Amino acid sequence: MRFTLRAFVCVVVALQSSVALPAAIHAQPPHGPVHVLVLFGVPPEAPLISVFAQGLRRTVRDDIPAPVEFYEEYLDLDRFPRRAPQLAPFIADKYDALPIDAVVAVGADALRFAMARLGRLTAYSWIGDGIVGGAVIHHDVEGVNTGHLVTRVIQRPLGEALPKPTAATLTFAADARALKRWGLSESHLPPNTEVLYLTPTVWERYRAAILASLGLIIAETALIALLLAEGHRRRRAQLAIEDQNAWEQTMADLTTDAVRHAPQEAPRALEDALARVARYAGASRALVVQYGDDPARSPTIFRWPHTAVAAESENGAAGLRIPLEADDTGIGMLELHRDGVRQEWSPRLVGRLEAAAELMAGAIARARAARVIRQGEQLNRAVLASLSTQIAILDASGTIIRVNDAWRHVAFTAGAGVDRAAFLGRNYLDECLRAAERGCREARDVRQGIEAVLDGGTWHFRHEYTSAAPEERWYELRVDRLEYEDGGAIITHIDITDRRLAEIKAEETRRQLAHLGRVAMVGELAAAVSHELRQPLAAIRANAEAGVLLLSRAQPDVCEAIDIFRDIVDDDVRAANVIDHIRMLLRKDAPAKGAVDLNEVCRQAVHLLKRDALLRRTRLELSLESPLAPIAGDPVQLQQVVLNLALNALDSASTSTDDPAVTVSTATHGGEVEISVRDTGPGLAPGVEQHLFESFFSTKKQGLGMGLVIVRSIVERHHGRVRAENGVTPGGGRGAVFRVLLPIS
Amino acid sequence: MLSSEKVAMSRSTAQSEAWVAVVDDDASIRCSLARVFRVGGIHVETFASAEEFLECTTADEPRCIVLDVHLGALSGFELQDRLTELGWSTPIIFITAHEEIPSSRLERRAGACGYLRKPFDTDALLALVRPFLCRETMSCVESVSAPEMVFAERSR
Repeated sequence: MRFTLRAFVCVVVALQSSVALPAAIHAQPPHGPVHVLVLFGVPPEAPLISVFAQGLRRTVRDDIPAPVEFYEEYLDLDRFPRRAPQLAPFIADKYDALPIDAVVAVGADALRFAMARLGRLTAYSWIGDGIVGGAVIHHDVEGVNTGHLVTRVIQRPLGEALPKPTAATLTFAADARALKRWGLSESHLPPNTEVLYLTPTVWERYRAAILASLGLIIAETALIALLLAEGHRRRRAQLAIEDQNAWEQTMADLTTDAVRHAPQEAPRALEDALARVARYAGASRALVVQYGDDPARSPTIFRWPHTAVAAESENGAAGLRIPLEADDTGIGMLELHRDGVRQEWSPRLVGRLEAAAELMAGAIARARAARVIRQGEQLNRAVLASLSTQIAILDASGTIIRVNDAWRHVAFTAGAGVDRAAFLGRNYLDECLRAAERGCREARDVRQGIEAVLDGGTWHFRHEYTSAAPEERWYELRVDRLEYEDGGAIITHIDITDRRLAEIKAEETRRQLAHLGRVAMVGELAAAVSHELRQPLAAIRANAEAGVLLLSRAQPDVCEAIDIFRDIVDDDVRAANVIDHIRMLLRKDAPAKGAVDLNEVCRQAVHLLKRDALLRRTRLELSLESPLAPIAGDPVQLQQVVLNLALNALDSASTSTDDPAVTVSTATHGGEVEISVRDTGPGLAPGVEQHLFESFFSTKKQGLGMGLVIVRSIVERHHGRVRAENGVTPGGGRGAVFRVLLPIS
Repeated sequence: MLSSEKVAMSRSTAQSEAWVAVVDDDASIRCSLARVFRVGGIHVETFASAEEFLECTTADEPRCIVLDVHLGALSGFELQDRLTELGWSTPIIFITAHEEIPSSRLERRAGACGYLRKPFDTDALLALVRPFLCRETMSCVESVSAPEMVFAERSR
């Protein structure tokens, strides 16, 4: 396709001796730089020009060892006639100074110009300029040939004739557009004729564009491929980063979940954690088994998702089981399942899931520990709440840090009073001060008491108070030190009204009983009095009647009669004494004061008891310190004391078989005189001492329980003391000792 | 020789003299009652306790015993039981100063022999004692009439 019609083939003209450039050509040696001017009679965009020019340049440069400079000028065909006059001098001027070795004119216009300007010429023309067809040469070949020709022209020895132009390789060609225009058929063309411009194909028309496009497309494709590869690489990196992010986020969530959730929400936190881990692991199902605290209890199972059922495939191949351990103890199991995935769990994922499982185990363990603490706390709370007494707990500074429901109730409903206003967060001591300022006298004492407990001075403080409204009630304020590291105290207000009422009632009952007891005692006394009086009365009567009989005889025995009357008098005195005795017992007023010789009192008492001792086969002995300082008192009452003690001692001693004895002795101890009554009986049973001097207490089957009460009553009226203890007898036996200590007057 | 036989022998030897035993822990009562019996011409022996009476083996068996209910260690009732055990059937006239002892119990214990509450009319005591002193009339039921019993009871 790079053809020129032979019929119009140009001739390359060597311009060895042109008008403008002979001197230069001659002056240049064949080995120096060669300057070739190429004139194109076509515009630069004309087809095949570049092909021709390339062939020309390459050939000349290949052929000539010296460097070759090409100068190309395009002579615009359309504007040439007008420009010709200017163009010739322009080119002449432009290249005048240059040693041009050859001028190549390409195309008819260039030829004409060259001829007109430079003299000799051979014409050249191009197919496509309107010619129908003919023998044509290949432009590239022709360019090469022309190159050779130019070389030969340039290298020919001086004086030698110009070489003949070589014949170009001819081919038949025709212009299809011209054929068409002239109505000629292609069939009339000779064989092997190439029909040019048959249909200006896309390729032909846009070859460059197509090629460029193709190049562009290829380049773009390459670029896209490159970008794709880059994108893929980047995506992988992105995925890795995302995976790392997801992992880190999961771990962070697990950690914050465990921390953020309140202990009672531990199951929810665990479910959340399970969901997070399962999602991260890409599992389709997951479950956490949490073993119970007590091995006997069934484990708790959390599933993800909730709808997941316990499938038999849980033990399947795709499952991953990670034991949850805390403190080397298995507390649960994490199971993950990927349905429809045959792939093994990657070691990296397993490693991460194990780390997550460790976090979950930690959370479970913490929740468990928290539950234990919470249970303890709940128990405390429940216990506090269940108590009907009002309880407040103070810290070391006296601030109320905790109260129970009863306290709250009273604080809300009552509101007023010494300490009711005190509520959570308030300082109890300050409240006491305020109450004191309001005029509550008790508050100051209470404050001091609480301070003493808080300071560790005492363990307890108790204070009773009453509240008048709406009904009178008794309360006890108790302050107990807390056995607690940080100190503090527990304050309890106990409603002791019921207890108080019970006490009052008991007191009344006791009074009634005492009254009844007194009545009973009077009855007893009356019986005793009646017996004591009947004896002398019976004797008096018997004596009197015997006397009557005696004196009614003819010769009455006077001596006998005198005895009778003496006996009657004695018995009468005896009866009077009984009455005095009873009166003395019943008398409550202060005893007659006089100097009393206790030795004499003891002697009389023992004398009176001789018969009783005899009956009990018990020795009754005196061991008196002499002289003995007198004491102030009533001898009859004091004698009663000795009588009562000695009678008890005789009763007690007589129960022992081995030489039973009772010793009444006196002694001086400092400012006191002691009367002691010692027996050889079994002694006092343990725990009896403190009851001995109580009313109606008796160790004797038929005892009235009044003897020792009377003793104590009399001794106390004499500002003395009486006590009982177990003694040791000389024989090594036991026995009781009653000691009465009376101050020396 | 066994003590029971000795007692029996001593009783038989002292058959000739009829006597009355008074057992009371109150000395005034013993003394005054002894005087009453002596003035009345009745041989009397007094004892301060039941034990003392039991220990007295030299004495002949009394025709009757005037026995205080409240004695020291052994009570009057216990002495009665002890004598019954020993085979004695001596009539016993109980006397007492205690109001608490119910009459029903005294009646049961005294049987037909009677009892007296202190202070009592000494004539009533002599009336109760005398029938036992007659050797021919050993049974007190025959010798003591019912009105006398009533009198004795009323004389308190």
